[in-house]
Amino acid sequence: MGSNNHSPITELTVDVLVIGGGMAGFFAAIRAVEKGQKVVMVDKGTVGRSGFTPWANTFCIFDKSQGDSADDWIKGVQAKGEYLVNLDYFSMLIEDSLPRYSQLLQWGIVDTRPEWDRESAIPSRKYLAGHDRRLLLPKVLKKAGVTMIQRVMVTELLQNDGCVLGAMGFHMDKNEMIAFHAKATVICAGAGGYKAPGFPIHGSTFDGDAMAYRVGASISGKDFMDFHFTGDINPWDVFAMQEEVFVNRIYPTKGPTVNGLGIGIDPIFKIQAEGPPLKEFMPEDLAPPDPVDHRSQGKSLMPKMPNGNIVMGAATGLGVHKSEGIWPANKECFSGIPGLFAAGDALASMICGASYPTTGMGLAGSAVQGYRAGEAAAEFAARAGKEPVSQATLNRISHDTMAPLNADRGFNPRWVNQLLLNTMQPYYILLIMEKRRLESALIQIEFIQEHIVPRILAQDRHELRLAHEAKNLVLNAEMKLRACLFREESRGNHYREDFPARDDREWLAWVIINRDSDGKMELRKQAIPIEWQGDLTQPYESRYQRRFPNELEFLRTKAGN
Amino acid sequence: MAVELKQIENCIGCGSCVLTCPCDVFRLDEKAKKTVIAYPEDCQVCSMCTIYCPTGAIFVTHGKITKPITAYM
Repeated sequence: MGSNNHSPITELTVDVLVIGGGMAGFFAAIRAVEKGQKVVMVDKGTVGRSGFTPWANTFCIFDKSQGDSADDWIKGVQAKGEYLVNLDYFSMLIEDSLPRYSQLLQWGIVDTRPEWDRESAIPSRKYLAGHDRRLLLPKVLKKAGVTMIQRVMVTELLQNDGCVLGAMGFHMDKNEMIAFHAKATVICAGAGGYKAPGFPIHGSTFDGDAMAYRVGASISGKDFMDFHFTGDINPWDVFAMQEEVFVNRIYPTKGPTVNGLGIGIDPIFKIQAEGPPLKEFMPEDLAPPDPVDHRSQGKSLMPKMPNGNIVMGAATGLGVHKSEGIWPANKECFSGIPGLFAAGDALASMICGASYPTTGMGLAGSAVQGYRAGEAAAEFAARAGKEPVSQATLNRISHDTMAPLNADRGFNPRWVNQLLLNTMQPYYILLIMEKRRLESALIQIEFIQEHIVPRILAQDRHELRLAHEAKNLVLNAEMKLRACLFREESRGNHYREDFPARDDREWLAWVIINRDSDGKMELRKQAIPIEWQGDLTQPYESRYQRRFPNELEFLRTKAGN
Repeated sequence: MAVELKQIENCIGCGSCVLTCPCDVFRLDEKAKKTVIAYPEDCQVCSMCTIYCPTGAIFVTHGKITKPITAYM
């Protein structure tokens, strides 16, 4: 601190760089290596133990031999995702979920023991009996020949002549910057949250989105909210919850159905109407387990009640899984910027649309997209031949990255995160939304962005990570508020008090965010292809079965005018 | 507290917690061959460190009580 910290730059040259060591990154790296490329994976923590993957517990499989019908799945996901589902990517899930699951089975990362039963819960290490994905993912990668570089936080993508040519980051433990010169880069850095006291995802801070946005990639899906509850006593402590079995194994699940379990923001309406606490929060209409089909659905996979009072906003800031992130320019996980690909929660593949259709699509989506992204990146890398970025550029990035560490004075990054959480966490900002309240939050965020983020101080490399995370989180908050203001309707996990109904004429569209030539945030609509819009002749109330408060009154008044 | 070293005498300095923690809370004291809870305020009370501690040296207590977060340190 206070001195001028010049970190030496180590340069590595690879074919394919994978950023992030969760399920998407795992398959991206495996596939790119299979295609004969030299692959490096970089993770700011430890491969297999960072991001959301250590906690994922369901994997959705399309299995024809169990009588699954693609038509039914599509109808189900469209109804639950309220017609904002990208069917190209959803079809990828239908095609590839079983092959990816079979691979995981071969590696022992999943196993076929029957569903867990709570009564026989035994300590996790013994229960896992060699099927621990957190330990097996890096083991399989190593065997496949993937080089893993851990505890390095990537802060910026390398760009030249409109192409992404790798990335650069700093080491958590050494005074060292690492420049990865790569022919193709795959962002698998997940989504994120504002470090709310709830889900154990404080390491995920939208780093991928933020880096991609800064080099000109499009971002989407920020207008839909994750909605998870939790208990207020050690919310996700695996031991306190006595749910070690639940969070330590991965269970196969079935796909979405029109009438099946969907997870929406509905409980918040009860709180809005009656005040806290929330007592009943489990959906009642869960299908009972099918004794023939080994895959579970609904009730059998629900954890028991969390400890303490039930609180909302376990993952404030998170969007609907797979619906937020880097906007794909094609069906092959390409970002639109040559050399840059994305998969998993970092890709706005929109396989869930506006709301969660069922369990298991998150992890399965990451696996199938990771594989495809790895393949596309490998094919790109085999053809690419750009000059690496200049030494001057590397020096400039190194200087910018280290700036919080070299400052003499400044703000505590934890305090910045606290400001962000205080601004975004209240239920009346992101769950029950309204124009003036969103604008007031945006004014706060703009101030933080302009006056506080540039003056964050880091006393050591741990805090340097917190500083860059805070910067990325504040950018995400701006995206979120602008996207929510822009979408003047309600749909899925997006409820606007001032526009409390779906508006099919205006909003069968995704919201795309870009950085314009002046560095300002620019938003536009991208229409849903007509063939993905569902049956528009269906009466409103059967097309949309979930009711928003004041929705029907609003529609009646509108029709009356 | 959030995360605690209840049986530090059991710690063998293997560094498993340093690698495991998604929030980078631990550092290894190379000389003493013991882990150090360097940043308890950043603990997310997930207990992953406990799962992968081979000797049962780490515990996560209920609640998270840390020093107040202020604008500067």
